[in-house]
Amino acid sequence: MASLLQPDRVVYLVRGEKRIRAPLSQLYFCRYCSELRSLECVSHEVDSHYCPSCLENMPSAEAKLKKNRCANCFDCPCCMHTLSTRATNIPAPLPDDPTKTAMKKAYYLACGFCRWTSRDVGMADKSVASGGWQEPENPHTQRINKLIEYYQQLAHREKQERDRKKLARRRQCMPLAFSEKYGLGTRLQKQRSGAPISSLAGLSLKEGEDQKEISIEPAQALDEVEPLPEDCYTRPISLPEVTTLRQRLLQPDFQPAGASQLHPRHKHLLMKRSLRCRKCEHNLSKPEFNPTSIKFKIQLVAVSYIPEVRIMSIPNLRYMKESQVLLTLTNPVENITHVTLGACEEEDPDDINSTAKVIVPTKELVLAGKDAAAEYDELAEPQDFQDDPDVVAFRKSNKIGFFIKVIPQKEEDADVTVSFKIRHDFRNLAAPIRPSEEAGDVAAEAIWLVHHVELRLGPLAP
Amino acid sequence: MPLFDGLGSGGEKTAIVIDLGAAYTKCGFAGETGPRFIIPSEIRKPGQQQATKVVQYNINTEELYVILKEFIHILYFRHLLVNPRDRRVVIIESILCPSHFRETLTKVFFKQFEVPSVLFAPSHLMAIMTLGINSALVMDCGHTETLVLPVYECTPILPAWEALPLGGKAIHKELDGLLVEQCTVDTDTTTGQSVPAVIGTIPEETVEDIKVRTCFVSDLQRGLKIQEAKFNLDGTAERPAPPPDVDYPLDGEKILHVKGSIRDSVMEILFEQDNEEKSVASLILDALVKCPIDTRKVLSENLVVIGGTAMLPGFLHRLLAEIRLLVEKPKYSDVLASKSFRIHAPPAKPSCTAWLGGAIFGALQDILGSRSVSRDYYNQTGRIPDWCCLSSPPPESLYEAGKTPPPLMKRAFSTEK
Amino acid sequence: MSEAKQIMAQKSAKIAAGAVVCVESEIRGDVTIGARTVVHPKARIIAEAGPIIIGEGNLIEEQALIINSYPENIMPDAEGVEPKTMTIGTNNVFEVGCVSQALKIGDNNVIESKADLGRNVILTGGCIVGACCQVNTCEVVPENTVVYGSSCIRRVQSEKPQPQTLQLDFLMKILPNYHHLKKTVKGGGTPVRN
Repeated sequence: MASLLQPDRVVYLVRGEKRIRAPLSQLYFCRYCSELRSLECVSHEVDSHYCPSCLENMPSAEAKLKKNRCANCFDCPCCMHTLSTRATNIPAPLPDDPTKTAMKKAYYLACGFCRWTSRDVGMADKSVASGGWQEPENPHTQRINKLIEYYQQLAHREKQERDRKKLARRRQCMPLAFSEKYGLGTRLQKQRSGAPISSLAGLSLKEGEDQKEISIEPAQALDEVEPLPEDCYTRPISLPEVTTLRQRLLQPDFQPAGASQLHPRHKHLLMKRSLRCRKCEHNLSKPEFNPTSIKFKIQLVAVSYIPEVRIMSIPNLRYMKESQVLLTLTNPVENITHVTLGACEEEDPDDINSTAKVIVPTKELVLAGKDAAAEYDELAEPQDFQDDPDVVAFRKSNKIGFFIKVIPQKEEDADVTVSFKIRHDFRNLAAPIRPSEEAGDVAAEAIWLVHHVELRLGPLAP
Repeated sequence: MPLFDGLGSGGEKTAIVIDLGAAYTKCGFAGETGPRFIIPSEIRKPGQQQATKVVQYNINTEELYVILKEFIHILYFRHLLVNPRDRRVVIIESILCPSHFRETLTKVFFKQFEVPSVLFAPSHLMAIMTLGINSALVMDCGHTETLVLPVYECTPILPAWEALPLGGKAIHKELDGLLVEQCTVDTDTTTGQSVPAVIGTIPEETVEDIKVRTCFVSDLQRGLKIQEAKFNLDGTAERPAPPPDVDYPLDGEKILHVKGSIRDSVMEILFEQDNEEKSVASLILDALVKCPIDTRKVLSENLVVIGGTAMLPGFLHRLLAEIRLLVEKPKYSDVLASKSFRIHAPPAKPSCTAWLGGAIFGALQDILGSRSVSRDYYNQTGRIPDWCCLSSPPPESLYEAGKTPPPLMKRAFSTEK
Repeated sequence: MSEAKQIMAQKSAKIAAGAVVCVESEIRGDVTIGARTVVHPKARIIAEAGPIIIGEGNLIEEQALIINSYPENIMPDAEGVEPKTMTIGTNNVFEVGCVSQALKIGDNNVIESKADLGRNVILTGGCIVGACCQVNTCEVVPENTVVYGSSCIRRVQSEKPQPQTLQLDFLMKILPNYHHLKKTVKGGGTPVRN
């Protein structure tokens, strides 16, 4: 019976750019647009960064500086577990008196899972518990920075040429179009175009540009490449000493082949996401700053605004025979909600999946508001709603059970699917309160929302 | 900290550089010295054991859209940790990438993630940006294929492209075949079982791991002898002594004995000449032959090899030796005057060189915007410019309609849209 | 300590003087336990198909199972089955719930919780078999190997795991306060209570 409560049994239709059908628990409700939204039709944004092992929040500026890595925690280069700092006592000579030795604490990193230690790669023990470990630097950094500076100079020149041309409104010659995507820099245009164009004015800097020309030494090609060492053909390899591809790719700059060169890296941060409606740019979900908190500052989830339909029990369904299915409808808001169900019209563009005809109750169903204190309040008298026993099976605080009649139309092995429309009133409490409100209850304007619901009832009885 | 890490000039945020390879994706930020992450190009759907490859050219657009969306989502929110809306994107692509893949990728970026602009940069061109030179003959040895493209004075010489489907994928297939055929597995109870009897097929990850850790490329003399011994039908040629065997533990119970002869012979498929006498080395010479005469000397003295497969131990040495051997053949020696070949060493690992070039270009904030396809342009026209499609206008119409088109010679070397 | 010659006659445990063997542990068959070895309650050492010789300084935790049993496809009473001795060296640690059938274990090894060693494995020295790893191959595991992960990946560490001297000393002091100990038995019979 628990399979009837699976989330994907009852799906709601989201009308966005694409028609998406998803269970209500996975949908969001934008109360400014008064529409359902799914994860695919909202824009995701990065909200805050935190480290998964020390759970420390990191402001985004610092995260950018540290390249999205935690300052204190390390990952094992061998198994990617988190490294822990261990301490040993080693005898070390006292600074005052070299002959006497005292016990000093030395710290090293160790992995509890694969037993890797920082001593395996030759990293010396540090005397401070944190902050002493450095990642190795890429040896090519300087050359790359010089290359960037040089190209930036060329790019700057090109931009100036372009700006000047726009102002001068000169006739542009064809060759400039070629260099649009694949050419590089002004020098290129000069060399490729045969026709004289105004940009042929030489490489000399002009008009008060005061930066020095940075020239770059082009890379030298080598005649010979180092061959494989001779013992490669005869030496038996010891597999644990050769790194696997995954271990190598953890350090893209170095990609070491030997296990003795695997250095630990700082742990990569995780982030919390906030969601934003694409149409009205309001936030639908905004988590709290604190990494340890699971609450949200803004949480506009659909289950707290839209009544939820759930299947309670299904009799044996037979082809072309009418059966009664018991569904429940839950009211998530605190005021009374009126719900009307409607069958789908013929040729409804949303109705593509249903394989059975459905007869829904025509009367309006009234749902009591959600009252958290109701179960403790014994003196309250139950509200009398005058339910029709043919339609409403039971009523319990904010939930009712009601019957629908299903006539399966297709005799296939696939599940019987029905769909109908649910129309309910929604009070938008997000609307700004007008200054001229009277004391007492302010009935916010109720608007009627219509949702398309599809239910998957299961296979026909054999 | 270098300047390029924080705000660039004018306060624009650094761009994102993504190199979507068939096997691995390199992603990171412009202006940095290496990609932040190299991750396999695949996604795992919950409940599925087998991962789905992202770079597939044969599936229909809808499925591709969903897969790409999922993958790019993971890239942004698990690895790069930035907002897609804030940063421009530089995508390193192969020029042989099918148009519909490119278009779907652009659609994902613009429609789903709403990035400000996208620039498709060809990998061969970006590779030479890391060297500070203007011309080079670039060979990209990737997973699906090896592609050679000469670049002269910063322009790719498109008609001279050469490609062969010999890459990581072909090596895996060959290695898998050899392992299943020739190797034995020891289990806890028995020794010397054949592979299919014990484990069925070897998973692709294991084959890749065996390739990376145990295999290498022999040098020229040895390689030729191995090839001779393989193809010699009457068995007179002798194979040089194979390297020692390796015991590869598959898991706690089974050990696969990888024969030594597989270790050095599997890579020979890259250099064996097939019926058309094409091998990875001949691609370079064929491309040279197609290039105009006055460019050949410059190109042959500036070889650049990029791509993950080029990182095999011994590959570059063997490649250079093969080229020097092949150039003596009458087919090439009559045509090519200069026989000197020199090879560059870019400031990055071969698998990340194209990425690094893209990162250098992405750091040029003055021109990145004007050379990219902006979101407005895409929303207006609904397509991105492609080198093989002549119908779309360039992003900024710098030329006036009615002007005569340039002479044909230029068009042969240019990358006009 | 090792009187393996009298295999057929002896069916009882020989526990050296300094060893701490709790009475709740189950020791069956011809088992020799060296000095300074601690056997926790509920540990099981079963010598079915041959004697077991355990060295000094070992730590055998709860629910660990060290068993010298017949290979699966051989009947216990078949002819020509020679009883093989299982030897365990010094300073090993058998953590909670592990199962060891390996015939030869060297020194300074650590078998972590719920690990499973098959009969044909030989651990040399300094090896660590990780938690839940099943190592069942027919091989000699080289020194200082660490086996870890669900697919039993291996790596080599640079130093041996430290012997658990502190832990052993502590246990040898504390355990007798809470448990009765087994003493060695001369010529069969029930163990003598302390």
